[in-house]
Amino acid sequence: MMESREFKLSFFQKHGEKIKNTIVIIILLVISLPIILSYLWLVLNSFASEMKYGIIPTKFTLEHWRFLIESVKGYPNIWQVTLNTFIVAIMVMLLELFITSFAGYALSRYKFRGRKTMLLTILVLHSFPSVSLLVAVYYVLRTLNLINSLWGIILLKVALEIPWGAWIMKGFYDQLPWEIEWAGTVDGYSRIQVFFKVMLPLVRPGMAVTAIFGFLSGWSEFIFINTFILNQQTWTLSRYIKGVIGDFRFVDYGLLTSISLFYMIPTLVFYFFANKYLLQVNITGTKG
Amino acid sequence: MARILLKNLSKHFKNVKAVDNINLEIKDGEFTVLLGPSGCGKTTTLLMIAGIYKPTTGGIYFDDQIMNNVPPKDRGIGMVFQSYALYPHMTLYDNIAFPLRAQKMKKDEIDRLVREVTKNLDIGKLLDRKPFQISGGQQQRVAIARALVKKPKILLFDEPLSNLDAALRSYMRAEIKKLQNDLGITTVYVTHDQLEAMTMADRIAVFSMGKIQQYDTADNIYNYPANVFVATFVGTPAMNILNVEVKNYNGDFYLQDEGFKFKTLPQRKEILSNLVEKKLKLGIRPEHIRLSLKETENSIPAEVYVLEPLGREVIYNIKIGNNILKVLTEERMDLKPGDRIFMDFDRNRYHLFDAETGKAIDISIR
Repeated sequence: MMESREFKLSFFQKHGEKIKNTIVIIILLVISLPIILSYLWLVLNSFASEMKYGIIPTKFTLEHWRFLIESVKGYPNIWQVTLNTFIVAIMVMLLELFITSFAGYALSRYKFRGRKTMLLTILVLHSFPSVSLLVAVYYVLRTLNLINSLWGIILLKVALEIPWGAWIMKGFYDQLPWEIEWAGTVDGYSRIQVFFKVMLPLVRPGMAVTAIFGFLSGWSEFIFINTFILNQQTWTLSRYIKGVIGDFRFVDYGLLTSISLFYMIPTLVFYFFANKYLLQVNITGTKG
Repeated sequence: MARILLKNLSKHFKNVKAVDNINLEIKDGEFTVLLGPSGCGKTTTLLMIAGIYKPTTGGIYFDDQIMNNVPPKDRGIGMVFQSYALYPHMTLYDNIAFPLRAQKMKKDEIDRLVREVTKNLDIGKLLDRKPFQISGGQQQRVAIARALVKKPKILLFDEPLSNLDAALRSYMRAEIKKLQNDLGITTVYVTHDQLEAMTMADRIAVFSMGKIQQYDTADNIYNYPANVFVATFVGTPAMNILNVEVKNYNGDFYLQDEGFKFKTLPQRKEILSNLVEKKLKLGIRPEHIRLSLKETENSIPAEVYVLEPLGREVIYNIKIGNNILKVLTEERMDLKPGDRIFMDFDRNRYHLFDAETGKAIDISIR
């Protein structure tokens, strides 16, 4: 389908780049319209008390953002939930960063039995749907007495994120020439000292990328929390939103949209700062 | 300062013998070049001296002390890498101070040593910069400063000049040689460039296929190559090699193949009489061949194949039978491809090699 469209465009080529570009932009706009509209609706709805035809806001209000100051009836305190979400996201990020910094180095630098198999299975593991693990994981968490605990969720998330993170870190280590590491040992340092003084500082962009992915995956985790967290006090934001949608009472769209926006803020902030590092993954991180 | 001794040293990577049972003694304060084509084992040998690779068998000794299991950091070596391997995240100052900080030296002592080593290398004003902000030649000098700053017993260079342009390379060649001369540090220098080897080395070890082919002074390697490999690898343009047999015609000995025969000096009768009918290779350096337009006694007819003018000299490629020989001379002759010409060579300066083993045959007149 893509190809036939490009073929038709070639008809316009003789009229110059401009027409071509305009058409491309229009097509892209049309394709992304549903996404743009839904975000637009989200923003508008959270600040409007009434919507005409479902999309045109009529009255500005901050009413829906009251959940920030006072607890909504039937739901836990929002700040407690936000704190929980942050704990999960940051712990997942830190643990993943710690482990994959070493794991990526080992995968990149050491030749050991099963290394190649490991590298291949890592990618398969990452594409495993986590839903399929739910029952097995339930038994594990129950045995460890970690049901209803954020730590259970954190360990679970870290375990599932390590392969991917290790793969990314390996890509960044692969970029560093052996000679730099050798120079460090000749200069009077042991290999582990060289790792901390030379190698780690040089894979900082990789660590930034891994940190971002780790944080976001912790931040957006839903399935495990929905399944293994029963106590409202240990909810995270995603579970909170599910609560707002899924209850039997009338859905409060104002509340839903404002909490959703609130939920998105850290993600946006992270992307804003991490842009330049994320771009490097395409170049370096995917190299075998 | 230290003497380096390699005893029956081998390094195997899986089935490949990268270094195959070599013996080498490098005297204290000597500048030794390991010379050879890529994949000949010279860099592997250097990395074993540095302690980065562990030998498969054999021993590495510094001053009679076995070093096989001593890690690089404790070997008292300084090393300059082909890519310079500067630490990109550190300033030049920190790069050079890095080896000193490993020794937990005091700050002002570090400062003094860094200033001292950079003064002569003309990089004193750049110390606040990062490696990517300076030129390749400057990076090279920083790498040398970093290797020198801790006053090593042994200096190792791994093709340090191959990333520089020709003019800078020629300049640094002299600089490094001067530096080594002044400091008197035992130096091992790896290169594939025979010009670097000839100009810098006290002694050259010529490597091929993981073995040392010859270990001697530059002069001896050039004038008395031990085998065909050394003869053709050292010297530009390379030595001409012709397949010949020794023939005895009425008591005169000739080196002969289809299309030519050279009469030899009567003083070599005795040596050559033992080689009659044996398959040999004749080696003649391009600068020992003379060309002339007129036929002389003993000269051989040839045909001009192509000319390579070098400015000061010209390389004439001439064809004898099916062989193309290179002739290097300063003399200008108005020649063009296809012209008939006569060639002769200095009968005191040629080499004979065993065609099977490639080993040089001693034909010196005693």
